Amino acid sequence: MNHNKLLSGMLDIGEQMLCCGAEISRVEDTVERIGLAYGLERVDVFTITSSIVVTACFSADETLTQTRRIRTRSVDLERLNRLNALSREICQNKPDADTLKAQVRAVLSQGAFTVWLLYGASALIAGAFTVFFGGSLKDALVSAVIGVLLKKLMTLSIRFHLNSVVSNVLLSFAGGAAALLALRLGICDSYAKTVIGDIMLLIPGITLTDALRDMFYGDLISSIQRLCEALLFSSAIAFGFVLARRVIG
Amino acid sequence: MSFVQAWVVPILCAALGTLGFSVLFHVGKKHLFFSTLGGAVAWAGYLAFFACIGNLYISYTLASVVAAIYAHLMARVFKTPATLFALPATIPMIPGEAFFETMQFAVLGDWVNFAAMGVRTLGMAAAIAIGLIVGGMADRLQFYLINARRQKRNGI
Repeated sequence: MNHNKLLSGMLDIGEQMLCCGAEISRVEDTVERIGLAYGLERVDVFTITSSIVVTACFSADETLTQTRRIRTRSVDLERLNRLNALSREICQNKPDADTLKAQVRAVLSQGAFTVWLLYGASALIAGAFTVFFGGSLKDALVSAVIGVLLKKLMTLSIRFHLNSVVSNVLLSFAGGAAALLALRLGICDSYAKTVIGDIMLLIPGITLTDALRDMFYGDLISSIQRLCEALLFSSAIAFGFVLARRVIG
Repeated sequence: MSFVQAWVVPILCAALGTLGFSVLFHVGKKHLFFSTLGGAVAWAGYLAFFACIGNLYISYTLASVVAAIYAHLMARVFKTPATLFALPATIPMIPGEAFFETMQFAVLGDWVNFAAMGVRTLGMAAAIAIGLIVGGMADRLQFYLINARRQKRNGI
């Protein structure tokens, strides 16, 4: 079997798992398990949120290393589930390298997001959290509409490859401005309660929690990376909302 | 505060918010109901613990333990990674509001409140993380116990 290709296939799985939101320890564990299932003498995996390095020892005189750079991550739990099932199957059946790569590609081609569902979900999140934090139904409705607007802007900023800090400031400014406008028009009762639903949509609260979890697991580099990311984006978001209030309110 | 205001509305909203995030995070149709239920269970747990103990951080930790145990249970049933249920279950607890408030104080230059709110935010996030880890450990322990009993029964 082509060892280079096999290692590359193992990395494909690890990379994709990391991209769709798996924990560091799970990625390392999965890649190592697959390697050992193929009878490798030793597999060393080092993963941080932005990179994977795998060194596989195939025999005493053949050791290979490959790395992957991970740039974008977005949580996709169904894909993670499928990749996990695939990795179990691979450990059992040990397909050759070409089949392995084809199987990973097959998983990636399955199950795209339905666009209108994402808009619906954004509206639901914004509305639900507005009521959750004590807003009225009117607030929730306005918040839901702004949630859809924000989702649209999010898609656009990704399409135009906007810098993520800049896009967070712009999105928050737009959200804050829309809520202030609604308040002026008398459609909603409270600015703070209306925007909180939309803030929940934007704020990297999960990244912060993940950062602390990684810290307790001892994955310190990933932890610090996530913490910085969370601080950077959350301050951009806070800045956007404060700006909207200063300019319009 | 009435029962509906104190319990029904928050839990319902927590469930709806969890449902929204579950869809956003692409939880499969098969698992959507139970991932949403996880958010409701965890938040109900938090409200109950908070009513008994009255401490935010301890209640958060205990509710996260509940969320983790629930997630591992579901992961066994559906044969999926536990993250698929653990991430949605913690959604209502994620300190998004506190985090935003903290950073807003920073932007406004109110460092006294920034420090106070920052500690609160970090405490909440840490409580969730610890709860998830402890819940995961409880699951592993139970797994070993079951295996040990099975091995004993099979005479290994």
